[in-house]
Amino acid sequence: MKFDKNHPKFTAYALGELSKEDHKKAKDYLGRHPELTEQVDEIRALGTALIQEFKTEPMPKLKAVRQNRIMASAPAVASKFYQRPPFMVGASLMMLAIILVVTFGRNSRDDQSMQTASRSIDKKPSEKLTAKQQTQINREPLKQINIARNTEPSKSALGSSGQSAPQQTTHVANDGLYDIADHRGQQRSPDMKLAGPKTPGPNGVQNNKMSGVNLSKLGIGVGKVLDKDSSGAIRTTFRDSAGGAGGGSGSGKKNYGFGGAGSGGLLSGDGGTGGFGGSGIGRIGKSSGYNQYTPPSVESYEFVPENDFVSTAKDSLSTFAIDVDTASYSNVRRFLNNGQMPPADAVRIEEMINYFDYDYKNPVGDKAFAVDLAVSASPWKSSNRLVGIGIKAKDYASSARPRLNLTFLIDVSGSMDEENKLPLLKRAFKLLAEQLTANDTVTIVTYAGNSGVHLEPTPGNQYKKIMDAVESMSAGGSTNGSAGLDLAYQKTQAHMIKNGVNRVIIASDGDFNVGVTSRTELHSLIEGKARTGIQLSVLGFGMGNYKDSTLELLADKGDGNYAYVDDYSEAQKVFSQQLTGTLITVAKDTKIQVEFNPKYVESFRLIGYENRKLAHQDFADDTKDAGEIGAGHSVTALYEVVPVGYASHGVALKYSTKPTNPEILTVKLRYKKPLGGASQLQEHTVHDSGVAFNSAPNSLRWAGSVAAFGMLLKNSKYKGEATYGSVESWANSAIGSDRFGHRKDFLKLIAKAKSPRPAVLTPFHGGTYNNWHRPGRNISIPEGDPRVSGGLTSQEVMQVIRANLNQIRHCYEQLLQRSPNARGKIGVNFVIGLDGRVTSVNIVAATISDMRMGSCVTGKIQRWNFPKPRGGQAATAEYPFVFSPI
Amino acid sequence: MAQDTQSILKQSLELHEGELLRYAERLLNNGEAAQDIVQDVFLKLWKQPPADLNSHLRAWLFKVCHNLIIDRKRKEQHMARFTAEQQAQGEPQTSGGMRIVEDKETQSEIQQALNTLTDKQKEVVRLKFQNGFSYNEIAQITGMSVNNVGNTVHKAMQKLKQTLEEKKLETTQSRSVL
Repeated sequence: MKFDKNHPKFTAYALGELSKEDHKKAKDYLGRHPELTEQVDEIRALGTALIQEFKTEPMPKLKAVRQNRIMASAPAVASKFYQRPPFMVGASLMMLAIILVVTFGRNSRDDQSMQTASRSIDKKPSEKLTAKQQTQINREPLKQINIARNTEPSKSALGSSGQSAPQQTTHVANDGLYDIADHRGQQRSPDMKLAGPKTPGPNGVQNNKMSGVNLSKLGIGVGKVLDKDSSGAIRTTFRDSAGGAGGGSGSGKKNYGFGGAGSGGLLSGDGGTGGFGGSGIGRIGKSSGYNQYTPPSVESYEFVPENDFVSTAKDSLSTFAIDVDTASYSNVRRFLNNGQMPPADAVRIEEMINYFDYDYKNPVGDKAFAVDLAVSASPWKSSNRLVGIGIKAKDYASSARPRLNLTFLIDVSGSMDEENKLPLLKRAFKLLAEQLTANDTVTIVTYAGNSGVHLEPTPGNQYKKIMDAVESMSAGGSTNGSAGLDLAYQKTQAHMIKNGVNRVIIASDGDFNVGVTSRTELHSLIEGKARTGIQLSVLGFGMGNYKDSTLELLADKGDGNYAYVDDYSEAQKVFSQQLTGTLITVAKDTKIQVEFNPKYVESFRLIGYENRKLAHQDFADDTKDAGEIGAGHSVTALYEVVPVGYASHGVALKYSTKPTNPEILTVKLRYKKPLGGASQLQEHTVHDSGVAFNSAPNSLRWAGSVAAFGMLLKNSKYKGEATYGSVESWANSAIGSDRFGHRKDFLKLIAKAKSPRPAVLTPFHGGTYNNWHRPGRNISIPEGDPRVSGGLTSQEVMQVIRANLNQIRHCYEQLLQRSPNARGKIGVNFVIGLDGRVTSVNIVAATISDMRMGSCVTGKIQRWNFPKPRGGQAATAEYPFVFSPI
Repeated sequence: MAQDTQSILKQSLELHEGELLRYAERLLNNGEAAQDIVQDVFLKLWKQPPADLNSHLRAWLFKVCHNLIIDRKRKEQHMARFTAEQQAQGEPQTSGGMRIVEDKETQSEIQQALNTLTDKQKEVVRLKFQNGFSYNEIAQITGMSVNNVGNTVHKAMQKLKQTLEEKKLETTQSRSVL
């Protein structure tokens, strides 16, 4: 493979634009050629710089007369489609998504410092901001833009807010002005591949063309870029990503100059002036800055084109890894229940099909799998055939199941404090706890500001102890998973059960922030642990903050499962019904290869599994990883087949030489026992006896209905004659015993997709989050005495300082995380312009030498609003902040 | 209900007008023309059967916008030729509308570097980094193949890097003189 910086794919790799397979190849290649890493970083840094540069461009608005003209010819009925991505509010800063943090070659200290940098962005570290607050914060940079550039019209960067309130009034008392924006924050729906924060972030970057992006190599830093402090953005990558767009490194705008140095490096990193939390530097970041600043609508979906028909003349093989994830179904359900159509890329048909139980036979003897095969006419295109391949893994009676050693690593950050997150997890945990026995071990590690063992390894029969621990978890604090995962692995390791199930289960509502570990380190940690027998599963909770590609990847690396839990029945399914399935792997690296008989099959199409395809030669290659299958799980795959050379109408022709029951394909199944070893092979042939769809077995009719539904949602070109109405009737007839009621729920979803209710703009439901908790320790910032000259009194200045002291407090809290014993003084001098805004801030005396602390403080002050100085003269104030831990 | 409909449509408009305008303005270098085009984009949207948009409203809007821009540019080229002939005997023409002119001094190095790109590169780079579209989506919007998009982005990035490196060299040289 020719792969270097001169190859377009190299750029594509750096920007996260390669297909999954190519990405992997490229990554492997880079792994072997570390010298190329720097070039990847360069491309990414340039990308970040471009993003940030583009952010500085004003967002124009249509003239009123044109708006009116457009609205005058608007249709009478508003389609839901028009309403799509509400988070585009303020799309001016709409950012490239998938921005992540580069992981290559950064030392961990670096990572840590950047983490803190990105966290320092917000006013209060652990307060979950309401959408309204976010909106207010989001618009603050506008003010700064105008100060800085003096050229921009005061058009809103929130170009879409529909409120033509004067922009420069005040950023304090404007409750009510942004109701629409608030509502939209609530309507989170991704449009296509909108990963990453497409939202107006508070970005000081606007003030600074250079934006602290360390492109020192390219010479586009502002002034001298001071290494680490500004290097955050360089780590921004474009895939794998979780991150906030670009820039923990806030701004290096000169006239914000800290200590007059005016260096990009100095100021960058602080969010005083914003920055989209450079989130997750070197890790899959859920840095507080990111989460709290980004309206809850940054879901990311990978765009994967649907499988096409493949002609058997060209290729009669189809190879893929079995996949038992079901997250897409829950996700689709969430959209529909919210009255929205899911984005096409969120619909993964194989995950929808596999959400359901099928009554396949159990394997007999010591076989790991039973294979259930069925063929009928395709319901959406009657001239085609539909082939269902159902694979059922061996089930264990719960008495015979292996012993469990489970460590839950639970995110208890502030954002988990919503009904469908931590409280839901608690309810679900009960189901799990009820099934544990003395042979099992449960451990709970929580992480937020700090991580810690919440429940020491406890035998499964101590139900009360376990549940008391579960109940006593409370959400609050910002996420900091550092050490959390290590701790979880340690605990699991310490209680390893030989021949049992040893697993760490992450429960989080967002990206997993593992602190000091870089992303590649994280992956190799997880992979390494998986090799020693500790698997990693991931449960995604909640909505909005949910980035499935990232979480899924972790589970993938950890040989575990990944599920998205959005309501109780889903939780029930995962924790209880699938307890054995979710947690016990009966086979690993399970691959399917289907060989079609070209004599009877002209072409075929695998429905779904787009990102699970394998190269044909990998089927027999035991070194290639593939899907894990848990006990009792069934996996279903469907092929749509264009037949040739035999009757396809279900009528046996007496005088035809065409066979009536031709062998159309062979299914080859290869898997390894959980503990490895050589792979085993099972083979099964399929004959088509020509049955119609409505005479097909229940399982095929159900799976076919679900597939058709998925194609409709995706508006697939393969949907044929399927309509929601027809899907409804097919599904209705295949509902079967429906032990858990999942199928009935599915019918309700079809009804919703048929006539989605007009989306209602509901107010943000979260209310305010007053119960944020301050991590760690008490600190003191005694009031000082401002020295003020000019058009304001010191009382007036003091009032504003007092009102905003929490912001400064936050800077100090951040500092304490970096250096726990820091204390001292920072004296600032700032000038309040005639409009009451701060025009410059300088540090005049400091005994704390931490630069980020300095820039944090000046950044905060820069955003304060003071009363307008009287007498036509600006006011100058000097104030000493004295910090000490108590 | 009618009220709701209006407000939903209005929101949709307000959600996208800014980014579309910005896109059109930068490609046309003409604010008034951009206003025309974005107006037309929405008029077309209202006529579009919504189901056809599926969930790709945003890409659809950009695609329509792209096509209108291309049309407009073609017309302008025609006009330019025509005007050139006229100018032989007449006074200089302006094409009307507000020009977006950036003072070179206030332009960042990146902006200056961006100016060295071809129109096509500029467009693709903007779609990618300003509007956050994937290669795939850019291909849909511009009618290019995905490979072509990949090549274009790649070439553009290389060019930008090269320009910025040269600039850096200049700067260091002039600094050392000081």
